[in-house]
Amino acid sequence: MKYYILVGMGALAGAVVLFALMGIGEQPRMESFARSYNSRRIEEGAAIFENNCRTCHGPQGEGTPLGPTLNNAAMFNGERLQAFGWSGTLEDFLRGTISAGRPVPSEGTNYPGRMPTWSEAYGGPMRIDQVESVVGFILNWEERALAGAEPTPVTGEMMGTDMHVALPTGDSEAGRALAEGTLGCAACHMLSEVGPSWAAKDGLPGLAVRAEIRIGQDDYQGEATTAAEYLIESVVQTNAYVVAGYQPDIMPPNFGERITLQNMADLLAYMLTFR
Amino acid sequence: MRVPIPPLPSFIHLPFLDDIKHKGLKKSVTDLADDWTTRITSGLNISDVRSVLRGDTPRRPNPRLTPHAEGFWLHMKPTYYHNLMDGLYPTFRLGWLATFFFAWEILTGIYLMVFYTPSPLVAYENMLGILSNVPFGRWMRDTHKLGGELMVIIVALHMLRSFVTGSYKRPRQFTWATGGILLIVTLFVSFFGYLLPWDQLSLWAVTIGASTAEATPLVGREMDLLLRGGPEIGANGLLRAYLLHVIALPVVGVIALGVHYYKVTHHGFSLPPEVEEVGTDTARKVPMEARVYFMPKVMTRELAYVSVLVLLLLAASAFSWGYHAPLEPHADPLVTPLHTTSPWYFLWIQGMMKLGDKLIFGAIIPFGIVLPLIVVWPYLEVGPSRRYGSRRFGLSIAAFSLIGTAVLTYMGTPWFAVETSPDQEAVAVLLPQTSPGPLRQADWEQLPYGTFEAGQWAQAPTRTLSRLLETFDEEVEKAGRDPRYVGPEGLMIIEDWQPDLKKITLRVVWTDGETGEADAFSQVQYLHRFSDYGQGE
Repeated sequence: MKYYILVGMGALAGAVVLFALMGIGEQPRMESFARSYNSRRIEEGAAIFENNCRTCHGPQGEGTPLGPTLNNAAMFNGERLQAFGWSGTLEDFLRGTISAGRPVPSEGTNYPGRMPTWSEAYGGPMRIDQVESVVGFILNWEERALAGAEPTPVTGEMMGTDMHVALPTGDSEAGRALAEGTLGCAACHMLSEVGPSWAAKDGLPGLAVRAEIRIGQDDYQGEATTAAEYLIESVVQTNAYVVAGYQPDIMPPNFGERITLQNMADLLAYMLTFR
Repeated sequence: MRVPIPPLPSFIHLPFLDDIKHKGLKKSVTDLADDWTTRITSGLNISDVRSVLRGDTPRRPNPRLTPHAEGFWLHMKPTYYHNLMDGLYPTFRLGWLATFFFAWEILTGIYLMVFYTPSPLVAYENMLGILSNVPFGRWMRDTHKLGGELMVIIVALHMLRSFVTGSYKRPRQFTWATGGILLIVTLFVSFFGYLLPWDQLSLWAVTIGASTAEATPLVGREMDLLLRGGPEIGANGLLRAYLLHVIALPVVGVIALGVHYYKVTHHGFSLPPEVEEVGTDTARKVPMEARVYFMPKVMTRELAYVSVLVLLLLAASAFSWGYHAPLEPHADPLVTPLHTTSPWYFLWIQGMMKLGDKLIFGAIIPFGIVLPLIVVWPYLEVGPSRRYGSRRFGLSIAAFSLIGTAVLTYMGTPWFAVETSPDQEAVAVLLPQTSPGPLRQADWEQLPYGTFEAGQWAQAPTRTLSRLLETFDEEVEKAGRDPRYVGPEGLMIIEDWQPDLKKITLRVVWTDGETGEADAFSQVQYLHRFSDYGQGE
């Protein structure tokens, strides 16, 4: 019997020692688990992003004409949040935007669609933890976004809103790159139903021909006298004349502040190729 | 100036002060301690306790019997055992063990309850919280799960032992019947506990299990709705499972256990069949020389068992190599994982359902025949003899049931009669959907970027990759034995996706044997440098 007592007491002491040992190790263990779970969130977020977000934001978050870039420095260095006047953290901003969507586009942008609501709480398809996973995935771009991509500095004289300004020689290929890439014109125009299309479509001639017709129309209120001037006016003075069937203010009014004279010339050269 | 000490009011009476006055301080304190010890132990004073621990002969009248007569905790414990029954053999202490595990589950379960809310919105989040933010959280969860699984095994073994020794026979039929109820309670407590983490494992195990409720004759739809709380397991279903797990079934268990334990003590432990005349029961007539008193021998042993078991159970989950309760991704009713099964102790039902009609094999046989038959068995098999030689029929049935259960359990696993696609199976070997598997657990650093063919595993730039590709290649070759898969090839594409994040695509390409067209199956897994799979999730 004394062996039972001995073994029992020994085991009891062992259990107490075990508790003490575990107690010492608990803090690091909990931290390591938290880290590993955050990592798995990123993995899960990557899969969700691939299935739901890439069509508009690009497979790597580089942005498309349908949705803004997510992996650039502006997102992480505060520029983007400042532009919105957002005073919270980036994480909160992402969580809120993904959960509730964006009923109104950011100023200066005009994407054809609006960010839909994604969280179940707002009628979307995702559970709270899935939204969190996507947030984790987007935040994981930070290191590379801040290290690699300095925002490309804009060089050259800015366009402004004067359509009579003298333009340098334009390159239609560079113009195409602007329209389909940097400026995102293609998101609404070209062949789209969202804004007036540029390409000839359904019996309508291309943009350059239409511009010539427009300036001769009775309801035309702008000041352009040539097709080129009409097109420049449409870009930099967006409400000077609104084509019948479209609401004013849909076209962002600040392109004049965003593009250089050279950009305008390239864009114009490109637009004039649509006949 | 002297401080006046006010006299005590007359209604305050402190006999201890009087004691000190009469007996002196030392004697008064030891008397008080003795008094309290006697009250706490219901009859043993300090020197009695010491003599119990030393194994001395008790004084007369024997104070070691009073706790059984007057105390609560020992009132259901026998005062003495037959010397054939006081050791591990022939009962293996399985009933006692089952009681121990019941208590263990209640204690660890209460700890976990503190950090858990039964709502699909937060249940899984709570699991992550228990694992990442609750001191001893993972430990308690692991040991709770392990205890539950062991309890199912022990209860089943206890039933087997009682059957083999014929202990269910007259006069213990009712004891056996309550034991049958306890078996059912144990299975279902464990089953409903399965759902609570709200991960893929729990959702699908319980969905499969609950689908048998639907097969209940006449009221199948109602049973199913009651259990799931809706057409699909959701908030209501989780709440119901939780309440069944923590209140309803444990209450039934406590009552049935009380009756069971009382009946066991009341009838005495049935002696080994060979020491009794056929048809007699002498468990209650233990000769003086065969008596082993609970105190001190049995009690000391049982306390030692408790300490050792606690240590073993704690140690089993304490270290990284120990047992850890699984935690799969969040429950998702839209995604059915490959190789999903019901809990292992219900696999036999799943196996039976593959035999044919769900109504007959999923509902009527297991829940309408087998489990009720277990409960009423002693009232059907009434032969008086407990000797093995006279019970060939009964023992054969037991052996047959054991083999049958083992076979049916195997049939319940995904490896029996489940239509699968060899391409998906090949990918699932590296990327299983119900456990982390070799790819997720591989060393992240050793997965170089590029496209690698499984067949070229020998040329892979790292050892880790080479091993993974070799496994993949073997599985792809297995797929090639199927005539529908002509010339299958495995590919692994590893891309740099984000800081510390790799995108890994596993692809099987083949030519369809019937149509001659090229076909492919891909699965993508993103792997983060610090995701650290294999922590027992």
